[in-house]
Amino acid sequence: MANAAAFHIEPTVVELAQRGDADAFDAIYRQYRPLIAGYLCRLVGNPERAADLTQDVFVKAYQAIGRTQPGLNLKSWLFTIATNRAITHHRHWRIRQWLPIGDAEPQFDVDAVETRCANREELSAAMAALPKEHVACFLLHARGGFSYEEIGSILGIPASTAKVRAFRVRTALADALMAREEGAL
Amino acid sequence: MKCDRSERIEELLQSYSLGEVSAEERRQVEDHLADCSRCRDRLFYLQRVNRIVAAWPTVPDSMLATLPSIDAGVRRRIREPRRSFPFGIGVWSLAGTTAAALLVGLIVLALIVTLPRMQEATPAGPKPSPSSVQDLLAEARAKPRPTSGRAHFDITIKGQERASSFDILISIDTEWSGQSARSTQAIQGVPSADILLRGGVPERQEAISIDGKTYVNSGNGWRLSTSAEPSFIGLIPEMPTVAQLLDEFSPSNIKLAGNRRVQGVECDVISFTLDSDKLAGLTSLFQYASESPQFANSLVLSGFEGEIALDSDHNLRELVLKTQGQSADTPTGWGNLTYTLTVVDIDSPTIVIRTPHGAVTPTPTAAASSVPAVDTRAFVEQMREAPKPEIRSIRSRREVQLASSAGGQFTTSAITIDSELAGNDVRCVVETRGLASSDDPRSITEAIIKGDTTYQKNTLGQWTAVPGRGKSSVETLAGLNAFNGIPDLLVSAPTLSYGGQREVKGVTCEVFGLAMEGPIPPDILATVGSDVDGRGYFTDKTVTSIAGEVAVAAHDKTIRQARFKVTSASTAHPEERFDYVFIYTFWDLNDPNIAIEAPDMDGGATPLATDDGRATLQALLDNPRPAITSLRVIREDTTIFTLGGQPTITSRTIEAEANAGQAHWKHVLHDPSPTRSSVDWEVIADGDTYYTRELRDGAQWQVSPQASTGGYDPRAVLRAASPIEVLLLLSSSIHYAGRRDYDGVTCDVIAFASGAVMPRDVLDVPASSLSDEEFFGDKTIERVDAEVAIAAVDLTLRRARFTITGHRTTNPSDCFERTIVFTFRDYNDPNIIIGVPVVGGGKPTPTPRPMNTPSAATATP
Repeated sequence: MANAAAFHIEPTVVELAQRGDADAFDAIYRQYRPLIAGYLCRLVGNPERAADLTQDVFVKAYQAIGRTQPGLNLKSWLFTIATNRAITHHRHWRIRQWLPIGDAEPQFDVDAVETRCANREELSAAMAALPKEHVACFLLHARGGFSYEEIGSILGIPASTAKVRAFRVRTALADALMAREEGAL
Repeated sequence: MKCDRSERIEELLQSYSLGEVSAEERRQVEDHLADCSRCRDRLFYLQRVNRIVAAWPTVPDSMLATLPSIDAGVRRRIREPRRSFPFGIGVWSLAGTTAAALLVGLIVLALIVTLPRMQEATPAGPKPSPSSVQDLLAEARAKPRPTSGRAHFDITIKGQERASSFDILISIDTEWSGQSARSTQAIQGVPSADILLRGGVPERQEAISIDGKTYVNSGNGWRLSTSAEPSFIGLIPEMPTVAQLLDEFSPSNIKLAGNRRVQGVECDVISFTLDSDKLAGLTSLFQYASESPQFANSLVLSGFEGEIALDSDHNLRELVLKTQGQSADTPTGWGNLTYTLTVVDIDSPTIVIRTPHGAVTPTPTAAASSVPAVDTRAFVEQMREAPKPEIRSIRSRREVQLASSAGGQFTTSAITIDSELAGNDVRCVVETRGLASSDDPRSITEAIIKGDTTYQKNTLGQWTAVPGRGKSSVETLAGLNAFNGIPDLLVSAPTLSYGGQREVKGVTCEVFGLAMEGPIPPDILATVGSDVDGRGYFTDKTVTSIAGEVAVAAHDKTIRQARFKVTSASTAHPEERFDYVFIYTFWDLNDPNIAIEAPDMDGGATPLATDDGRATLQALLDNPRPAITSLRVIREDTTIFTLGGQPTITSRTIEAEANAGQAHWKHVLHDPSPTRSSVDWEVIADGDTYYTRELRDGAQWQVSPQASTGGYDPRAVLRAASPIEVLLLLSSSIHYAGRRDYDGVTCDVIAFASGAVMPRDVLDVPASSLSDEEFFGDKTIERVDAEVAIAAVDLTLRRARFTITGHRTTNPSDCFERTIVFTFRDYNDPNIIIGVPVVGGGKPTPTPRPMNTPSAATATP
């Protein structure tokens, strides 16, 4: 994927960061911040929450990179942290639904998916109505450039499961596009 | 290829659209597409999805505006480094950070540097022969349980039950004399489901056991308990002795494991193992574990590993027991438990246990037969009919705990909502915890609904405004549906009992117990859940029982506290169980000081008060404060210092207690340096007589002139309530920082930051003094940050924290950060009575005697 190719960090930079080199971590942060931020935004469907989570990802990465092993797959590692943070966030949000304070958190409705597909960003928003674990598989494949084996490793699931989950999201999005255009006719 | 629009066809089309098919599959798909218009249409939309997704910008347009906040947030949070090197020389330049951040960042390095030195300083002693172990144990066996002393218990329980993990630390500080004991228990961490199912456990609880009675304080004042609660009080008389361990538990593999210091006392360490079938015999040690299904029933234990540490007089100084097990029910279930008992102040003369001060009320169950007969039904009818004050403002706390087995997974969670309501506006802090997430088990959200706008605070501490008032009414958020509905609930309860009186937030209340079985009407459920119609909790559930208690203010018949335990199951899947605990507390009804203001959208402090803090302080000073006749103060002082590029950490703790005629304080230094210059010591002042001794093995008490106490008069502890004035002197950047709870006491918090201003001469009282000429004499102070917490109820100081950063005047590269935290507690507690030691005793004989027998009015509330 073009997106994936644009994000490349030399292994020596990773090694330097692992040894505590500030400039090296800075380079990693600059390189991956947009990719992680965009991924999280599409996964959680809320820019402000995604911004918070992006912070969490890099602070955790900063705290933990010194403990990682040589040969670290940096991109996969960062996406693992990001995905775990997003899913944890989503669980918290579900608990907080006991007593919603306001409507700041988007309330997605699966039935309304087809009404949200007028443009690209609306397709992204529609995706947020789907299970986060499934969307993560789709985004990691379609936008992150990961193979299903790599996605399975990131999410701790079999590669076949990762493929099925991504497949279901793509199906749902295609259904939504079809339903919307058929309805418009 | 037949087109039945199966998942297989869809999968092939998707793979084809992505170019992820083999040559054979490609041929099959293209052959099929030639004949199937439906699949051609489908492929069209799949390709459109692919094109749209591929064309997405890396960062969505909607997120571009937040990118600067990410940089700012990461920069701010990374300034609290946890690693041995400070990141931030690149984008996050160190130039803007303080020396404090650097020094904090060096903590880990300092530990790494000093650890080997510490290990070298306490080498293992010469390996004794096995017979010497037996000699040691024989001497220790002859030691009776100390007649008085202080001990600290730490019990950690970690594990996994089904899909829910739990990680709990139970800390118990106790002091005992004879069969009397006073203990404080604190629980931290993620509780297990069974604790929640049993109704929850207060995070902090005190107990006094004396004359066969047990008094309990869970934050709402002392009450008398005749039941077995709290179980932790039973740990004291059951504290094991070496003889008990040897006789009852038959340890094996006994061997000497070297020497180490325990609480500053050099000890011989003996290791041993116990068989796993000893769990039942260790019930007194494992109060919690034995009550927990994981440890009592579900786990197959693999045995105990243990250690005891004996001082040179063969007193038991430390006992450590560890065990672990695998679940017998679920292959992934496991648990481990560590029990640590540390004994300090053996046979201390300073320990006297007295009945608690303050209103002591019987528990509902205990009091049922002792309180005057009350016509319960008539009372609740009167309560329902009594005219109620119109609620214009109120403060409330709403706690909901849930243990569920939905989906075959046991999960626990909890939510707490602290609210202030004024008119139609509300401010609330929502805290969730107990989720099965190890990295972030707790989250806090703050929100204000004012007018037609909802404000929420994000994790950066910035407020965001959202149009509209959200989905929850202010009545729901503040629990007013419960407040208003409980009188009807009590009247309709088939089982109702009167439980006597107790205080809730200083208000005397009548307590009623209630129970309901079987189908519960929807209006009752709505009241219990404080929902408009109960849909939030029970819409898809069948509630089988409700049990609880309600405290009603005696003077105005309003509800002040209610606890309900609700047992329910999924209506569709009855095997899925949902057990809730609801606790509501209401106070400050119609308090005119409750005002809800829109937040500072620039990210400032929550505007509980409209002034900048100075006026609040002045108001506090203008109001009368109680005369202080007794007090306990703990001072924790930590300094991180780079000396010649070498980081060191020194911490010291001073614990002090004083009454009108006596004082006792103890100084303990934790200095990793092998050339420590300070000796730990304690002082007792009794009238004009001063007793001192060093805290080392074999030290004797001696009568000393005041000068040898370091020049301090320990009784000046009682003057420690003056630091409020400090802030007025240093109020260059003072601000009001809202309310927080410390030790269960609601406090107003005032914070300030200053330039090179040092309040050293203002707080010039021993245990709370910041004066330290020896340290500060050659230093230049760069910054002082501080905050004080003042009890809302009586304006006494409860906590003060000062963080002082700077450098050595003659060598600016030697930086320091010093944090001093004072905790003030037990104001005017008549239990603070200090015995007089026996002079010249190596191990002083306990001779506690009450010096200021309280008057009947204070001793017996």
